[in-house]
Amino acid sequence: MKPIEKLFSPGWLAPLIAFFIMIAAWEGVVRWFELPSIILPSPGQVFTAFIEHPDEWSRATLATSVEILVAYAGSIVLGLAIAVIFAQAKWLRASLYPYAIFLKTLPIIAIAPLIIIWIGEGFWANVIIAWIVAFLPILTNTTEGLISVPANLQDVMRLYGASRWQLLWKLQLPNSLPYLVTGCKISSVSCVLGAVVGEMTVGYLDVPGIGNEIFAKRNTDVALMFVYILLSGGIGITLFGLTSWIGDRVLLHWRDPGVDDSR
Amino acid sequence: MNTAAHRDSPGIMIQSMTHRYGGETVLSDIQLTVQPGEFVTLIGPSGCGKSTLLRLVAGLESLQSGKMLFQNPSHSSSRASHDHRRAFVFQDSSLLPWRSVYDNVGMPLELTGISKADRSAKIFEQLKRVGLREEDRTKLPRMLSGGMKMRVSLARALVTDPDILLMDEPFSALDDILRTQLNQELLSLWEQQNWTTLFVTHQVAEAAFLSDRVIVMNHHPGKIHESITIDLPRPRLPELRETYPFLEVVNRLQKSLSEVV
Repeated sequence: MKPIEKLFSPGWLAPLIAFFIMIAAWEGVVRWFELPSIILPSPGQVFTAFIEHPDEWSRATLATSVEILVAYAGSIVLGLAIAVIFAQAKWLRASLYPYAIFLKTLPIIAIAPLIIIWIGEGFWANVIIAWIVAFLPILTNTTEGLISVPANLQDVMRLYGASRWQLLWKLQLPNSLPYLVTGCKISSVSCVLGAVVGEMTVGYLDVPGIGNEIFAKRNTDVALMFVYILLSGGIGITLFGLTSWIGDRVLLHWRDPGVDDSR
Repeated sequence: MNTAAHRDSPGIMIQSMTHRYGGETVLSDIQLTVQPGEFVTLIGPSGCGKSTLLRLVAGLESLQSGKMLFQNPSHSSSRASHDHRRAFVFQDSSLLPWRSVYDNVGMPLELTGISKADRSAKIFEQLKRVGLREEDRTKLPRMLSGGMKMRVSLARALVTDPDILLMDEPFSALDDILRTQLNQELLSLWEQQNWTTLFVTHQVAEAAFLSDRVIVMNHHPGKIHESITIDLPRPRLPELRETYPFLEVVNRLQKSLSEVV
């Protein structure tokens, strides 16, 4: 592709054009129907709120981001560790795996109040709520990757007398890597959901995060509420993008799982 | 049988081996002796259990009934199976996709705990032996052609310095020209080393060209139909394939196969 063609390729140009059309339509609707900003603020009002309250939203963004990062790190470490245990112990996996799936189907918003009753409102409750939603995709994906090693590769390892530890380290873990990356991508987005849900369940705190602020602003400042909604999306996209970028680099030396590329 | 064995490869003795999968008898009362340094090929219709037989010899399946012994020519005693290094070349190359050529070939040594430094010389020796270039060592399996993958797979099998070589349709996925070429290369390696070899194939010409003896197997259940000694002189060169005696052997094998199919 020539540089000029690349410049006008639909890859990035199309969403950008769509963005401006949507913003214009939004602004138009608000003005045409003379909607009050407490119902639907215009893009201009949202932007103004963003400009006028930098201290407030940066403090909330930081608070929520820390929760998300701690929950995400915990999800990767514990999700992987439990997956390894599941992959080693067939009975344990058979006993507990269905409940992991069940836990996955429960709406987190229904569990969040329980966690807050047990832990007490604040940082750690939010981390745990975010962790619950985020570690399950990593657990289920990685377990799948660990136990779905192609039979022929298992044969090779057995032929040369690989120990259980060597099987895990040299065959199962590398085999599960693409699955782990997929799990992390899902998890990176789930973390944001979990943290915001946790915060919103509590209401307002002295050290408010994004969820607390959304909760607090819903009756008073919808323009600022929009800012927080967009910020939570921003955190999610950033974390997802970062995860994908690192994942793609790690998987550069890999291929699709389960594809027999031997012929 | 090749009598000029350069090394003490053990013979394989199989007595009244029967093997079942689920309710089905895959192998029924197999009696087979492979002499030290002999190249024996198993041929037969699908479902004749030739791959299962090979996996049993490799120790990838456990023996259900019957006996299997590995007899060393220079010792009178039959020894337990783990005293011998058996190498297995799989139908698909079965390379670990995330490992380079070099690390795939070195894997068996790595598993037995041989140090990195000690592995290196052995790996390079095998790469050279199977006709891979030194600059190929960093490539990943997905970058290799089918023929190259098979060479890597062969190098991995040979790196442990085996005395028994088991090959399960190793060249079946390759085109005819490449297959013929790799047959030739395998044979020249074998003529130097005289591994006791069990080879499985569907191809009659391949069986005729490589083997000292061809075992034609029957199916449902898998049984030995006929053992045919291939009386072609060695070393065998590509020209042999066009000679009358070779075609006669091929015909002989075809005829035996047509009796069981």
